Amino acid sequence: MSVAELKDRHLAATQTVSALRDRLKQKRLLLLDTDVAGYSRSQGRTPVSFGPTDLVCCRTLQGHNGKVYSLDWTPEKNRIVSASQDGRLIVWNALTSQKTHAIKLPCAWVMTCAFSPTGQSVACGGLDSVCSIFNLNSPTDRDGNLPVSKMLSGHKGYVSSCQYVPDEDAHLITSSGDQTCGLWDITTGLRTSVFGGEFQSGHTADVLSVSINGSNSRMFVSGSCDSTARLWDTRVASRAVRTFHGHEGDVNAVKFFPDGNRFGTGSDDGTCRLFDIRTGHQLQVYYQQHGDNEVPPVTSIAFSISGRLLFAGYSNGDCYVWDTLLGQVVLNLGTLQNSHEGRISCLGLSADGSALCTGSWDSNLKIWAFGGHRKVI
Amino acid sequence: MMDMVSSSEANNNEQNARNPTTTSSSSSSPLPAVVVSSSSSSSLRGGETRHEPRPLSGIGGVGGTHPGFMGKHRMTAAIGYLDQQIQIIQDELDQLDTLGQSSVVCKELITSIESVPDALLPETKGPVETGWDRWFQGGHGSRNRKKWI
Repeated sequence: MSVAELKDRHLAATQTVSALRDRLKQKRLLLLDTDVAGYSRSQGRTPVSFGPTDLVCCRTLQGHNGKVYSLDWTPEKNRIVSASQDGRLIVWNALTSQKTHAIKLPCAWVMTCAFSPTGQSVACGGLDSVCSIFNLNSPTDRDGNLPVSKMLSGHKGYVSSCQYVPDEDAHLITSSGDQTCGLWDITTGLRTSVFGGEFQSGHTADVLSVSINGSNSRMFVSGSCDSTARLWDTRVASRAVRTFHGHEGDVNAVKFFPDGNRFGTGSDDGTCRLFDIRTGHQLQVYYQQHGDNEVPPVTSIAFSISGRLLFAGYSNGDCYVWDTLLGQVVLNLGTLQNSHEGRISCLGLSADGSALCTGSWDSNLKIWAFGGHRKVI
Repeated sequence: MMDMVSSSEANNNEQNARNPTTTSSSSSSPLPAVVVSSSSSSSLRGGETRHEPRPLSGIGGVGGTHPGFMGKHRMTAAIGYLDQQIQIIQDELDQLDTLGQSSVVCKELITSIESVPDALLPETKGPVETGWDRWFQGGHGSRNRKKWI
């Protein structure tokens, strides 16, 4: 076939894809007879109501000398690892505010960090395109630095996000600026699977975020600059299980819903969305005007342990607490007393759901908990 | 649809890109060379990294800035990829005939949420874990004892 004929075929195929995508969008719209907010209202649900001193900042963790970019809790107890522009990871006991480790990184340009399920290791990645593993029990070297115990190399772009596969310290999933995600065997240091890549049915732009399903660790979701989120089965790397369209900008953050059947996203388009993984339905859009006609990007999200609350950090310093059922903002942590003085770049919930940690460009981390009167129903 | 790479509009770069020159780190590690996707300006998360332009995956070269840039092999691969996309979307269209409406899922969602005790809610299902209040105990604050209603 000549180049001209190939070009024609290419154009025809592109147009077919476009037409089919539109038809899919229309057909999906017909199935959306209600969103979560509409349905919840029809069932008599009312918004969560916080008193002025209910959610309070009960700890401020100071120690970084630069913007905080990422944080992660241990699955057990009270420890947090954070990564900062200052080129360090710090491991904190959030309850006592003490730092247990301060790890100077071989590459200062870190973007993400994660705690292993047993709490014995931490992982980080960034512009060096490598995911580095540190064993917290290792002896430090001559300069007092914790040595790297493993380097996971293979990505051809920055490592934007990483998460250990739950219940084992041996596997990790990464997302990268090279448009792929990777599943790694930490023991061997090798990449077991590549999700996406050129002409594979994966993302078509930088991947910024991953989240592994807490109920089924073979499933994970990724968010990308191509405005989509994709669901993957780790056993099938060749194509995504499903692609979720809807956002109109980079998907900066993805997080599985606690029940494992849905996930949330946060985007440059200023909205958070809730998607159902089995049907692919977009269940709810969370958007509220911030004032001054600004539409700040969402930088990070987390769900409370029941899923009733969605915490969303925005680039203008707001941290909205959304009632996920009623689709309303019920609190703004960014305007509370003792709040951060800069953008909130990362959020995470403790394993038992009793505390939220926020990390900010003001170089601090803060712990928020419920200190009001609690009604048990 | 010609450009199958990110359709997101260009965002304010200053908001998203980190500026490595402002770091206070004492590390002397050099700025690594990074292949950064050219899909959107907001994807340049590394600030001032060296940018190796890469051919847009699949479609970009056709009728784009470099007509004829894609060779026959590459174009054939791109067409194969598009055919695969067509099949995937067709499968999803067929699958939609068997899917329920969103109201069914919404009902499930409410049940799921209301079945889990949540420490951060003013009203929640029990049981309450004693550890929930550890953030306000000991010498770390002078909160009054809370009353359970």
